Amino acid sequence: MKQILEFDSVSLNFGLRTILSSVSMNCATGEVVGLLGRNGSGKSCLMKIVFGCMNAEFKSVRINKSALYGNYLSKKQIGYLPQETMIPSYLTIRTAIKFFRLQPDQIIERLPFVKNWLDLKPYQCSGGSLRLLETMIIVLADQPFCFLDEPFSGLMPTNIEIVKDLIVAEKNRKGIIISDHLYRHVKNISDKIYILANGQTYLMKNEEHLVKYGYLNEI
Amino acid sequence: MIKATSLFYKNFCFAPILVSLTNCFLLSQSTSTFFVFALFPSKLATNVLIGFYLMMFQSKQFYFYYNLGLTKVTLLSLSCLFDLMVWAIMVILTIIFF
Repeated sequence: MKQILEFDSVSLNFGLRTILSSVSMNCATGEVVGLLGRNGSGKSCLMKIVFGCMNAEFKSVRINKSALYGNYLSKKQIGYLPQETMIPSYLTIRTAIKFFRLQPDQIIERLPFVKNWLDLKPYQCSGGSLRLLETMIIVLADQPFCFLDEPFSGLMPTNIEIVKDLIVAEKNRKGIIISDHLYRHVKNISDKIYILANGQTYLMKNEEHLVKYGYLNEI
Repeated sequence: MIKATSLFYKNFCFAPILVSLTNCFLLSQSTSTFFVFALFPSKLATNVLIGFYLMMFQSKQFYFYYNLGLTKVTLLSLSCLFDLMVWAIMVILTIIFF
């Protein structure tokens, strides 16, 4: 069954500075939604607010028209890949995978190198490959929706292709919202793209919008 | 939830257990059992300090737990509760045996 995540009226201020002003977006399962914006435009804040780990002045989040109130993290409807390393340094890769109710084999069949890593701690692994692994864990986990905050950062081109293939393969059962400055890759896999500028979201209709909203100087 | 919380607690349990052991030592040296009422606020204060340290300097690890459906408040309060239970057991044993 198709599910839909909608959020609107997301407002955030840092002191007198308005970061997000009545932001609205939606994402359905089977869809990849890109989120582009200049540095400091509030993309990560928006993701954290909707995920449920950051407070906002106001927000309205709904899944299948049913509003999510209070602490909805415990409902485990949304996954979030943060910009930073997510797996705590004291856990082995195997333990981390199991906490997400995944089997190591599910990961190994896509990333064979993980077989040698299962008993290592995150700080013993290469940064780029760890990023790839964490992205895979979030995308393969049970949540019907997930936010990926800069999943391509630090990845070599072949690993970027692995992540893109994974996202396209898994979007059949998930709604994925992705933000990354490698915008051509985001554009390749997204069904629709929002641009976050001036604290608001705009649906991108053509590449000229990226120039109009200050994301690119020229196409 | 319990498994994830115990994993979180294990990461920093050395410091609060050391504080509890110090409390038990002080209690064993004291002549009055009522000294325990003076120790309790200090135990509570060190737990608050540890929680503050985790939020300030180890905040990145919380994303892992958020994805498992646990909030910062849930993790910290459950860990604190468990630690106070361990402290209470240790204090009772100290009173009985020393």
